[in-house]
Amino acid sequence: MLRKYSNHRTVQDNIKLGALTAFSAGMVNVASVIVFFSFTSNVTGYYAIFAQEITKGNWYQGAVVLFWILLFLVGSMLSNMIIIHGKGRFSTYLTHSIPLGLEILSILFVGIYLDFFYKDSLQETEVLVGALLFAMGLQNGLTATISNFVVKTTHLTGLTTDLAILISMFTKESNRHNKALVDKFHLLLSIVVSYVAGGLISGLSFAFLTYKTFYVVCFVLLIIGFYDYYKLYIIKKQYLQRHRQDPVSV
Amino acid sequence: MSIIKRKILSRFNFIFLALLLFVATTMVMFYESPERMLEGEWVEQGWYFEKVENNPSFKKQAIIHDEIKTAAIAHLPPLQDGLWHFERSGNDNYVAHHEDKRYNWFLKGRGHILELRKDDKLVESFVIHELNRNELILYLNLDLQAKGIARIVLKKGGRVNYAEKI
Repeated sequence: MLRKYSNHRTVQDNIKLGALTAFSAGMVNVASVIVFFSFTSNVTGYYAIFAQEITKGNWYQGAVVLFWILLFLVGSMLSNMIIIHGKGRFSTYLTHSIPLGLEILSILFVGIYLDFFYKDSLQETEVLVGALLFAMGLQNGLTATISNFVVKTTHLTGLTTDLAILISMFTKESNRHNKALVDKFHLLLSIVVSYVAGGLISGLSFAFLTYKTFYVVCFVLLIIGFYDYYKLYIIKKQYLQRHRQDPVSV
Repeated sequence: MSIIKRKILSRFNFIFLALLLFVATTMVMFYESPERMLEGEWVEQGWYFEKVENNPSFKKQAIIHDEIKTAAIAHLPPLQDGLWHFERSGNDNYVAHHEDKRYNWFLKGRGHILELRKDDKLVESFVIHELNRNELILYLNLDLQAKGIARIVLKKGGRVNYAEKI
């Protein structure tokens, strides 16, 4: 999922990455709506709210919304910067894992803070929502960058449009046999389904785990990180075994 | 020339972004927050229908009857006398002037949701439509005789204003 870049990625790589990251985004979004009454996986609505608050003269609320939008932007920017500047210096897997690691740390921070220190004040809410938006920005920046802008998993507006266009295109016989379009349809569908599933599981688990739901999100993200680590480990092991058995070929 | 301009523009992006982040953070930290604005005594001015389900008996009336109002806040004794008093002492936010001090208030989201809790259990939540130093307008979802949204208008004022009103 993480060790391949841009055009070297297969459809299966993108589906796995898209499904798992969309699942975590759905979980984060629903949990944050329950705890903070604020969405944290997308910023489209916040642009409109920002304009609305400014026109109403609510400068404080406007600043809060701007702060959240900027944190999402900084997260995405940082993700891309790490990937493009880390290319050539570190392994692809390590470079792609750093934004994911930062995302896990941000969500873990929110989970721990809620669990042990949260006093339900407005300022805490604003900072914690900001941390989640930063995490989602990191995630979106990561998936979009490594998949050559094919996989975006934290918001579904563009995705729903693409899905609608594909559904319409499939009304023509020739398009139904176009592999590229069918693959894209599968990818988009898996993202939508995973996002909704993540949201549902988050909503249900919140009833039992409350703030600990954020630890579950971290666990899902760890699976993404360690999946490729495990694959690389297997490949390395097989390579070493092969060369131990046949030292002449080395 | 063009390369230099692009380099400057690229740096300008970072400066602009940092500046925006600095302004937003400073405002969030030091501007008067809704929590501080909400503290104090608010006197009810009236309850009105903002939106109501298509029901001919409620469609034309703007003011909410006392009967419906009383039913809507039957579970909120500290608000029943028309004086909403939000007090803060340290980390504890409570609805004051009532013998029962177990009612706490919290602001959520960007300060647009007002939650009232009793013994840490949610009792009611209002959407804050307008909050400034003098006026507070809240929306409350009604699900009683009339389904709809109530608009509650309150003015900032102490016991003196309240006494004058009654």
